[in-house]
Amino acid sequence: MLTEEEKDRLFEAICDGDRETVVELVTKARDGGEDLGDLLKDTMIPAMSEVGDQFSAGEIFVPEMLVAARAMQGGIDIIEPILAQTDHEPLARVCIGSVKGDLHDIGKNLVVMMLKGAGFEVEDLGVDVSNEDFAAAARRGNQVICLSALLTTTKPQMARVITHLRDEGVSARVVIGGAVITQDYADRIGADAFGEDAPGAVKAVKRALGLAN
Amino acid sequence: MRSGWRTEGDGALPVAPRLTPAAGDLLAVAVPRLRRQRQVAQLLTRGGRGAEALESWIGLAGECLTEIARPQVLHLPLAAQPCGGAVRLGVGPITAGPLIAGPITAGPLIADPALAAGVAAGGQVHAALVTLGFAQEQAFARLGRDYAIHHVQSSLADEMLFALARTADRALLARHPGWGLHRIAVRTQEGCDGAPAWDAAQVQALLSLFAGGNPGVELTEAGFFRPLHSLLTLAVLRPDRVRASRPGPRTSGQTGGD
Repeated sequence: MLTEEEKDRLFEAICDGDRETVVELVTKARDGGEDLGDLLKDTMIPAMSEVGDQFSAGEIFVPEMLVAARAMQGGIDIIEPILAQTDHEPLARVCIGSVKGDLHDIGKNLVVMMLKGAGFEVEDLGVDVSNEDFAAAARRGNQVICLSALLTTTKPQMARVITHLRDEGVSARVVIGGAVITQDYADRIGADAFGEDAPGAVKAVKRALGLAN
Repeated sequence: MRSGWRTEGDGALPVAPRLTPAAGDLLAVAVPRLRRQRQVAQLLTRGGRGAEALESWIGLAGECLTEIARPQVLHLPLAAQPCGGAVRLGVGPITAGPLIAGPITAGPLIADPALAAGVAAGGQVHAALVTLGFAQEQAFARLGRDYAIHHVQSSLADEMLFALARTADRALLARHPGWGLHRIAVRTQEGCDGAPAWDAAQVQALLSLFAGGNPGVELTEAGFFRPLHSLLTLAVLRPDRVRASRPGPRTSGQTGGD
């Protein structure tokens, strides 16, 4: 079992991007019979949430968020196989992809890292994803579909994806984001939520699922 | 650069010098530039485990790019036919003057005042296809599908691509000592919400002029280059270069050139 001090150290290690310490403490927790679901929920996910808040507040930048997310992933890699053997459920199942014609993945990948760090199960559909592939991902059980587009030229494709999903009777929530996307545009094309940056995308997914206001 | 100009010998293009610098040479420029980026520099300067991690990722990203990148530049001098206030570009006989005799292969009609003025002043129009020649998916797989390192690799590839484009410009200018190079933006005002965007149809038309010399660069229907780390530049070379004034002193936050 980890002491409260060690849990504080784990929290700080994630925020500081200290993967080595994260792996060391999570390994100790696993070997000591700690409830890893609780450790994830009460210590690790709040640490990533803090990282997201610092990023959104302009206190840290992408490189800090990257090292934090990768440190977090070091712990998740240890925890995941164990939780998979239990009845532990992820917060929700989410898929994400850059829309058809868009080959950029940087923003999408940041969102993947932050969603995983928030406790979601994420299916990364990659770039240049067709409308049909988004619909198929929803049929595989993904509850939220995240659409990413970098520039104005691929923005209209988001509207086409949403139309296709609704025509196909897909009821999964749709969250959109990207450098040129606004709340106004999200409202206009019928998206369920909009994320203004990677931590914002996590909040948007939670809003779309009714997990947050 | 270890490699120099090579001229196409298959007859696919009239004159298409190809530049194939080594990835390592471009990395030697790109890595310091990445390290100087404000957000990267801030973390590296702070030190600690985060900085150590970032340093190691830059190294891994560099190794990855050295292995998979196939940088090349294909230069294409273009015939330029003034057409109203615009310029019709295409493959055809290249002359030093503004008017081209005979038909030219149908190319894009670019309405750009700087291009029209450059052609009128006896300038030569050049397009350059610049690519690092690898797919992002290749890099992601090579990096064990590690998102964080892949992010750094992508940023490093951006810097490599810009270094390659600058190399292309320098090579072109070296062939025309004393001339000036003026970039032309192929833009439309018809982007989403009326925001300026590049004109994907015109870029596609330009790209098609490279024909068989094209090393596999294509556009998606939305106008994105595939492979991602590719550029198509359009510039007019003018013999009447105006000498720039001496730049002012650098401030501490400025990044230097290469």
